Amino acid sequence: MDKEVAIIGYAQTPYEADAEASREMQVLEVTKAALAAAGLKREQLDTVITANNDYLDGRTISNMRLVEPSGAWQKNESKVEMDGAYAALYALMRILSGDHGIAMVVGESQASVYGGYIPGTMMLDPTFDRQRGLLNEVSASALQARAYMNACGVSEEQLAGVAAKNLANAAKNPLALRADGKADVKKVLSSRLLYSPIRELMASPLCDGACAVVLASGKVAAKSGNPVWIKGVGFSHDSYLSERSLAEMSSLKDAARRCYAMAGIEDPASQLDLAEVHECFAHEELMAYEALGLCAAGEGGAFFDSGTTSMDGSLPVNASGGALAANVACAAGLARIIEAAMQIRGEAGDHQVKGVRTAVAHGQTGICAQENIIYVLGGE
Amino acid sequence: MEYKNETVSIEGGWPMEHWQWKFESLALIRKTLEALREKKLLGLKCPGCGLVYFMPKPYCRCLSIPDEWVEVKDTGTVTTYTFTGAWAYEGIADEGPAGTPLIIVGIVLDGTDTMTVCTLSDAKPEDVSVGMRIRLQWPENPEGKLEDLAYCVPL
Repeated sequence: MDKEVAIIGYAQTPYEADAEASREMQVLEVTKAALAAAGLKREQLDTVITANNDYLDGRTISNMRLVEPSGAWQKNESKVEMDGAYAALYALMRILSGDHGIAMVVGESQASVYGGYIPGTMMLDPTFDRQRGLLNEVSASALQARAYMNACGVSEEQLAGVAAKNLANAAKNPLALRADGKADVKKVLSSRLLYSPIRELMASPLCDGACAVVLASGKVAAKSGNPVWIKGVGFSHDSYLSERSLAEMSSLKDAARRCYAMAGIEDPASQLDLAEVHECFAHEELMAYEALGLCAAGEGGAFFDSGTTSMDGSLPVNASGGALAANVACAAGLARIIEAAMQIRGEAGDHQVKGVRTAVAHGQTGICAQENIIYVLGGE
Repeated sequence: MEYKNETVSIEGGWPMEHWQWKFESLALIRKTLEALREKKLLGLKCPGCGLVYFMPKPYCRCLSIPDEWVEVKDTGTVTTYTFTGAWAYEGIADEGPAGTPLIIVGIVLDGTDTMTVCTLSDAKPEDVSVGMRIRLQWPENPEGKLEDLAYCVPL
């Protein structure tokens, strides 16, 4: 895609364990801030897409009470029950249809309301796995981690290294929930074991928060200051966890292939300057290195050890701290898009990486990263 | 925000017992469970791509309908595993006896193509590895329930 749709504004709440405000007020906050950042009034929005989930909200039609807070009153509005990165896809397609010029995209949820990992068990096969009581989001991801580690020779120390890197990066991100400038491998490995090999600091903290992105057609974006262009998008959906290899993220690999073809990326490791990855658990970042083609298949651990993905490496991954710093269901992937756009614009403050022109942002939904979406973003 | 922690009750209910979900897989699983009484394991084979599902499943990713019952072995291979820590976290409670890690293994039974999750007994966490061979531990008198498939042991 060449200058067809751009990000022209964005906003995020701080990510918190138990926000004082309701989801509606958090959405109102980011909607107003994103509009202000884009230099727009509510009246100028053509379409609004939100990402939220009836099951997590505990009420049907979870977007119903978001109509006013998201700026959608008497406008063309819809939602996705997936990550916000898919809400951005829906908005992108509406703009590409030619019928809409400006879209508001919002993702939100509050884990303090829905209670930890319990709803995740509803993603399990209802007739068998849910009855057995052995699987949940963490234990299923532990099976994924072990399958990957065994296939690619990855150690627990390398998983801990990923967590330590992201938590240290998060110390420079004022919006992060979990951050630790002094995190190291030993500290991560001494955090409590949840399900081997996953320890507490290798698991993303569930939290409350919202984020919003304003997308605009090329015509509108060209008149705005500092647009971040969507150069490509790709998405792919895999089988349920018992019917696929857990040792690789094959649907992310497929999504990346489609996205890179659209964006004209032939050698991701040299053409990309930064990646924001939606790693719900530390091992998923290493798996994503491979699926995104940042390194060869099976080389995720060694690639991490090379330091390439650290803040001072040639391709920093999760300069924001990633989802290990804050993982709001339905918003964390959209937040990766915002963080990547922020880096391209040079607006990332203390966690700014120098000279980011082209970046990749990843979102996922489903147990063991069943479906994946990626974007390539670029500046002028 | 002084009302934040107050709960307001409204008379009424959401009678989930009135929901009547339809699962073809229930009929299939009943057949597999029935066969457990005779210590037989029934998987379901897809005519389109040949995948053998255990547990049985009414539809396949190739858009065919698996319809051929095949008897599979009670031996298999561990494809992945995890074991628990001894504490509760974010609503997930460790259900194993205190201090004894529960070992959860993903297994693929011989003659099948899908993973089943099971508890490994007679082993310590350090004994488990990907690729290790296991056998289902049949109860003396299987009752035709999911519990009959709860445990496996190293082969």
